[in-house]
Amino acid sequence: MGKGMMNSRNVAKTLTSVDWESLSAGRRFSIRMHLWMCQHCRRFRRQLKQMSEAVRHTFSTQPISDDELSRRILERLGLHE
Amino acid sequence: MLPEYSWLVDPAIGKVNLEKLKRRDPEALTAAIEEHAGFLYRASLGMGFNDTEAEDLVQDVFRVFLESLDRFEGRSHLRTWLFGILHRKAMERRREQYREEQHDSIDSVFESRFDRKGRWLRPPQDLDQLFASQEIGHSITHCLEGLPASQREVFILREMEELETQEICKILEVSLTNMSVLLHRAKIRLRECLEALGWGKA
Repeated sequence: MGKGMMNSRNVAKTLTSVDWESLSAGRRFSIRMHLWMCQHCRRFRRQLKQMSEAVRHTFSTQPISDDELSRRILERLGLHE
Repeated sequence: MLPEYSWLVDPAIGKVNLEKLKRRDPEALTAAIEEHAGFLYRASLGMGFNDTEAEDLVQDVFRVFLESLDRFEGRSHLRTWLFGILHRKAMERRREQYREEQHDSIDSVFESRFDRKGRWLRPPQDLDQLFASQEIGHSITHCLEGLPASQREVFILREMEELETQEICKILEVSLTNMSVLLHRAKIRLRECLEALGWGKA
């Protein structure tokens, strides 16, 4: 693998398993080329991004604030001055 | 990252402060808790624990941390060390075997979307409306429930906590290859679930 153009399956597999930064320049280039031509893969990639954003957003509102949490933990560990 | 706590993230920078921690200096311990408790708590919620369980877990992590401080040599980041404890404590609570399955049904689901030449046979559906809707939070929570614990944890550490892949491997004590498989399966499973929910909304 890695030579020439990548197919959709391999693009989808790469986008879901490895960090973009860890890819070689050649690999990045062939993925970019593929994405440029393939609307399905573009949509797939967009959805991966939307998924991560949605997860971060979902858990950004938490039941107690960080300060309150720290205070409780310190107290429970008997470290509260 | 807050500059005044940078020594906590990379203890090698300030041996003095690591020493302070080891002496259980209250100020250093407080700083460590204030810096990391929130991240550990959010990760626990993301991993599927409720708010009480998550708080107990974070307390457990710091209790174990205090007990094991003497073994902490500062070679790994404090954060990695803490998340490693969280991982082990979470496993204990779930009493679930943590293993990467050789065969996972999601693999054939993934493959079934492509033809033999790797072209889309069943392309992804349009999910923009689902992602823009109010229900997305519920959908995400619901679909995360369907993930095996190991896949869910990798996904949360990578996508929510945005930890480096190398760091995640250290925390979970898995190889980079195993971690990639878990992450791939998690993302595919989550996307498939969201697509099933979003079906017909477009």
